[in-house]
Parts: sequence; structure tokens; C-alpha cells
Amino acid sequence: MNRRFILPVTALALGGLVLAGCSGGDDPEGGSTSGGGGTMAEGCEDYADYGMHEGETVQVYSTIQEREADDLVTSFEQFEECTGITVDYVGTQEFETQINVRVEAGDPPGIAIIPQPGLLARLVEAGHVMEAPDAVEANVDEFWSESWKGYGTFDDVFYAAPLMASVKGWVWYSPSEFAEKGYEVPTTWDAMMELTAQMAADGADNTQYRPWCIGFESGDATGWPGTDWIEDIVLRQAGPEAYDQWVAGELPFASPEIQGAFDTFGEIALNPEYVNGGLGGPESIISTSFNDGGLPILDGNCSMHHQASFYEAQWPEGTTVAEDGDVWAFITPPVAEGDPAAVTGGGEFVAAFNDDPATVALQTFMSSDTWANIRVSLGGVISANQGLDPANASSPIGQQAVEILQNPDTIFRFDASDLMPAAVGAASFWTGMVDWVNGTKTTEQVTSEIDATWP
Amino acid sequence: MSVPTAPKTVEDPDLTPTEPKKAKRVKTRLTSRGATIAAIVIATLWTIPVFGLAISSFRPEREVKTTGWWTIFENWGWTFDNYNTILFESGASSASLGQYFVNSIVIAIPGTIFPLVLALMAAYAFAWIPFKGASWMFVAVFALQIVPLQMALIPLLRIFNYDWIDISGTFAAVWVAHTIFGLPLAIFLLHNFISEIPRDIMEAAKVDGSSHTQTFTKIVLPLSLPAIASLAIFQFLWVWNDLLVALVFSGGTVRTAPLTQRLAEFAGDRGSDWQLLTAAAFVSIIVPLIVFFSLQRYFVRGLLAGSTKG
Amino acid sequence: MTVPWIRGSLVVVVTTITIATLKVFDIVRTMTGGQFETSVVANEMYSRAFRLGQPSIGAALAVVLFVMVIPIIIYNVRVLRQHKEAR
Repeated sequence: MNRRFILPVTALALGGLVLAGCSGGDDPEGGSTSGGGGTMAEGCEDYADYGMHEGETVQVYSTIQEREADDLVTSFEQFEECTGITVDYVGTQEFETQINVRVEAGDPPGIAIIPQPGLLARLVEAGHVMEAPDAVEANVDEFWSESWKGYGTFDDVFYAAPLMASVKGWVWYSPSEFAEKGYEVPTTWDAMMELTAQMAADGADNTQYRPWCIGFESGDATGWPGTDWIEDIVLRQAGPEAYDQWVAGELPFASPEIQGAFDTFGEIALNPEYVNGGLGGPESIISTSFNDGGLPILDGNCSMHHQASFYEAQWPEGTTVAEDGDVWAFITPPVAEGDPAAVTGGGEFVAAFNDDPATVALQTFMSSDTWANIRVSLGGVISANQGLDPANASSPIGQQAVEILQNPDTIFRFDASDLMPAAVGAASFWTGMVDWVNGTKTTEQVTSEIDATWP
Repeated sequence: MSVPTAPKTVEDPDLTPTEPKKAKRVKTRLTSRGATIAAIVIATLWTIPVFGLAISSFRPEREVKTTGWWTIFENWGWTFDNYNTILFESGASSASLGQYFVNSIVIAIPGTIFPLVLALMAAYAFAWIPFKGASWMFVAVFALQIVPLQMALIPLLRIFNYDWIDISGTFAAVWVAHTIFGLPLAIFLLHNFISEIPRDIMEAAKVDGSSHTQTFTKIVLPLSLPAIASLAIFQFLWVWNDLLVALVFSGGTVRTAPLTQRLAEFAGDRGSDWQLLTAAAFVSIIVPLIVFFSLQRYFVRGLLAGSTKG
Repeated sequence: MTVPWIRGSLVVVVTTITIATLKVFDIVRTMTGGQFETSVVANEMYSRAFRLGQPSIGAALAVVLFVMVIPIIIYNVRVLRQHKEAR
């Protein structure tokens, strides 16, 4: 009896040993030995200012995973070689909760890459984030605009430098379809609505066809694509001042400005004639995942899809993203002709939890134009760093996004839901959008309910 | 083993004659046609999603994302791409799957053995060593099951970070955490089983002059083997499938992260590669399946034997 | 007749499963994140405490969860007592 029980356990343990033997050889970090004991290696001229920190390790903690994480780690390679610092990278989907746990428990990483200023504000308030070192602040003053610096500043103290950026509020469309049917890229909101009406009329004989397709589903974050819509409309309709007040909680959701934005969005999202191409009626919006939301454009079942620049990665392989390709995007137009270009966007911030020289060196490196150019050249992302050469962006849409971000006339505002307290921006605003687009609640009900959850 | 290995024959004399009859009745009822059909229907319903997952894991990305697995005949297409990617690809930020596999095993085996050993000893003490406050202590242990482990994450991690302990981010931290979280349920279940051992046997052992240690190793341990096995499966599955505890206590680096954490990453930043999860799920199921099938006869017996008499 | 015969097993299983179910949070979190009116106490507790930065509400919910389980504890203690006396 005893033997029979023990056998499988031993077998399992042996299996483990065999596996351990197999994988023991390949060191995942590819060996973290740095070249040369103290002497500067070849090509390290750019890194001389960071000094030598032989044997030091800095843990970087973030939400970034897989391909983008690989690129991020690659972007540190030369830095590691030249300074002797080992960058220990950990990326997890659970970042937003885990960073709280680790910080509260006194086990913070060296550096965290935080995608929401709201979360950053909470960590700063709790007194865990180090003030930015002078070198970082100097870099940010040189390479970033005032508004970007402002998102890392709390009570006039600067804490966290911006890292990467994304531009939201693109409207994806098919250039070939536009050319074929003689549609023009609209330059005002009204022109876009007229175009929508025209498209609906032209496509009336295809029962599947609607001008717009929208997808809200995103697991436990379902509803966020809707918040992007509202933010874009508020920024264009009510202006940047109102937007800032709204974010700060001074302008409630139930105010005419914000309710107006809901109504404007409702003209599209709640109209069964305008949504949801190839997917169903307005009720299909919440069950369509945001990853798949724009794909009906390729089948000709819809013509326009509102989503951030990172939607580029969602197109299936073999789709050309270019001004004359299969898909391309224009920025959501302003309300009136001649209004200044206003965009919403997102980004990440680098917060340090200790002031070890190695941490400071890495933090400074990440705020430099050197890093921005290295990382952007690897592809897939962009940065708002002014020292970035737009030509380094890997795709036409990325290049255009960099140009928009670097244009001094652009009014840039950070994604409002990321700035608001998490109880609103990562909870009731999302659920509110879901209830609203489902038709279960009116604009008045939804907006006052969101206001009630503001802490 | 000098101790009698068939304790069930020494059961209460007034119960013994009725038992076979009852057992027979239960058996006939459970093997009736209706029950069989119901069992088959339930089993099928429960297996369909797994079956769908299996099919999906062999379908090309485009097909997975645009059509359901039940349309496999209309959208014919098979590929090993998904398995290829998860098994053999590793990037600058991750190791090959083998490393995580080993980590998982290194976590799961002590994570199963530690709580089992401690719980066995505790359960024996609660059941057969009379001491002051035993029943209150048992109630306290029982009540500990209720504390949601999420609430204990921060305090425990804080303790692990004390200078004189300082084990956060190592395997030891994960083992200790799993042991702590597993103990209340393990003690509760094992106590129920061990206290069922007939008093006659225990007293006979005592009369023969066996100490508590001897009684424990020579009588209690062999007799509770079914319960131990079923609990081992439970605990192993729980530790193997756990993500939260490992995420918090292992620090999440390549050196200590278990398979589950790697699997969670496969979907990519914005979930654009979720077709890989289907294949990843099957890779991760293999070990629990081996454990379950090699211990399952004890499992079934242990569940039934857990506390036959109320 | 079958039910009284396996009463002991039933008590154990019902107790364990009830407690485990009351504590369920991972399934809710993965499937809906508590949206569409599917949130449960354990999920609400986790997201308040760790995601939304309201640890005090999270702690209060943990206490609520504990109170909900007290009847099960009391019942089990009584069964345990009877059992001890019978032995």
C-alpha cells in the first residue's frame, strides 16, 4: 500500500529533476556579466555620465508584457553593458493591484512604470515615491512639454518622468473604400456626422452594413473604449479648461458640458442605423471585444472605428497600415473649422522607490532622448520626448503620432479616466458607459450615479 | 507493519450487521439506469468546454479569432503554431517554458508536503491528545478558513521583509505562504478522518505501551493514507494553479515565477494573442492530470472515507 | 435512508464548499470583473482594497464576509460536540 502511494510521487519528482537538468543550461538573462572591469567598453560614450555601478541590480516593475517587454529589455542592453547595472524586469497584468501590495508591504521594486497618473498620485500621497533626482528633472525640462511634466508633479514637487506615449482618438478607416465611394476625410465634427448619414444611405442595401463599428468588451475593464469617446468629445466640445476642471472633479459629470458629450456620442452609438457594422445593433457594442471592434472594416461591413494608435497591432497579419493601404486613420475632427488641434492620449510614468545611485542612473537614462530613440527604433511604440526623431517610429501612423505630439500648437490632454481617482476612472465611469450604451440607463441617471461615486 | 491493517472489522458491533445491507441498497440506487444517464449527461456537459478548448488550441490564429470551434468543419484548418510558440519561443524578458515548469514543480512539491505533514500532526493532537483548550483551539483553526487570503497578503509580505527573515522573492516565501494558507482546511479535514479511527485500536496501542510518536507513525499514518492522498491532490492542484500567492511572494522574476504567471503573460499587453492561451492551458494541465490519475483511486476512497459516520 | 448514513460526509463537504464559495473571487474577477451586477463580496473586497485605493472599505467587507460564515462555524462546533460526547 505504501509503495503504491509513493511511486507516483517519486516519478513526479524524478520528472522534475530531468526537466531541471534540461533547462539548467540556458540562463534566461543571457548571462549578466558585463564586459571589462571598470574600463569603458566600446560604444559607451553616450553612457559615460551614468557612471559605473558594477554588480548593482535594479528591479523594473510594469504592466508591459511579451513583445513590448522584450523590446524594453533590449533597450536597456547597452546601458547594462556600459554601467554594469543589471536590470531585473518583471511585467505582469496584475501590476495595478500588485504595486499597491508590494509598496504597502515595504517590498517595492526599484522602479515602477506606471500607466495612470491617478495611481501615481495615490502612491505619491502615501509617501512612497522618491522625488525625481535633478538629472531627471533637467532631462524632462529639456525634452518634454509643460503639460507632460505636470502629470508627474504633485504639490509643486516633481516626482516621475514620462516614458512612452500613445495618441488616442484616431478614427480608423479604409482609404481604398473612401476613394472608391468618393468620401472625403472630414475636417469638422458636423462633416463627420454628414458623412455618416451619407454612408448609412449608401449602404442601405447591405443589411449588415453600418457606418460605425464599436467594441467595448475588455474583460474586467469593459467599457473603457467608451470613456475614450466621451473624453475626445469633451475636449473638443467644451474645451481644454472644462476638461481640466472635469478631471479635477470641479465640473461634475451631471453638468451640461459632460452630458452634452454623452448626447453627442449617443447620436452615433445609440442609433441603430449607425452602429454596429457586421456585428449587430447598438446592443452588440458591449459584447464585442475592443480587439475585434475594427475588424469589420476589412470585410466592408463598416467604414469607421474610433480607437487609439495602438490599435495598429490588432489588425491581422498582412494588413497594410498606410495612407494608401488597407487601413489608415485620421484624428477625430474638431467641432468647428479652425479650432486648434486637440488630442487625448495616454502614457507611462517612471517612479522610483529608492535613491540608490544605480536606480538614479537608470531613471535618468529612461528620461533621456537616447533611450527614447533606442526604444522607438525597436518598433511598436512612440514617445512624446522632443528629442525623438520621428523617422525612428516604426510605422507611418507612429510617425504621424510623434509629429502631433511634438507640434507645439497641439493641445494635448491625458486620458481623463486615467487621471481621475480609480473609484471613478477605473470603475464607475466604465460601468456607467456600459449601462448607458446598453440603454438601461439614461444620460441623467448615469452621470449622476458616476458623480455619487467620486470619493 | 505489526499493527492490524484491517481496522474496519473492529467496528461497533451493533452497527456491523446493518451496514452491508445499507451499502447494497446505496449501490443499487447509484447504479440504476437513471443515475447512469444523469452521470453521463453531467460529464458530457462538463467536458464540452474542455473539448472546445482542445480544438481551439490546434486552430490557426485567424480562425480562432473570427469563428467558433464548433464551426471546425466549415472552417477546416489545423496547426501546431500555438504549441510551437508557447513551448519554444522565449524573448529578452522571459525564459523558455521549461524554466517556469521547473519553478512550478519546485513550488508545488514542498507546497504540498509541508502543510500535509504539519496538518497530520496537528490533527492527531487535536483528535487523540487531550489538552486544555483543545476544542477552542480547534474552533479557532476552523474559523481561520474563513479569512480570505487576499487580506493576509500585505501583512505576510511585510513579515517576510523583516531584516531577520528577509525571504521575500524566494521560493521559501512561497512555500511558507502556501503552508500557512493550506493548513486550516487540511487540519479540519484530517481531524475529521483521524478522529474516526476506532477508539479500541488506539486504546489497544496504549495498553501495549506505545508512545504517541509510535501510535502516530505505526497506526494513524497507515490508516489515514486515503485521506492523505486525497488532500495531497487537493493541495497540489491548488498550489499548481495558484497565481496570486506566487505573484506576491515570489517577486515575479524569471528565477522564481511559476508556470501560471507565464501563461497569464502569453495573451500579451492588450490581449491580442489570446489564441495562445488555449494551447498554454493544455500544457499546464498535464502535470495535474498525471498527479490525479496516479492518485485517483485513493482520492475517491478518501472522499468517501472522510467521515463516514456523523 | 441514504442521507442520514452519509450525514457526516455531507456536513464536511457542505462546510468546505460553502466557505470556499463565499470566498470565490478569481472567477468573478476574470469573467466580468464584477460588472453587469455580478460582483460578490470577496471580489468587491479585493478591488476596493487593492485596485481602487479604498483599503478601509475592503477591510469592512472582509469583516462582513466573516460574519456571514459564523452560522456555519456554530453548526460545525455543535456537530463536533455531539460527536465528542458520543465517543
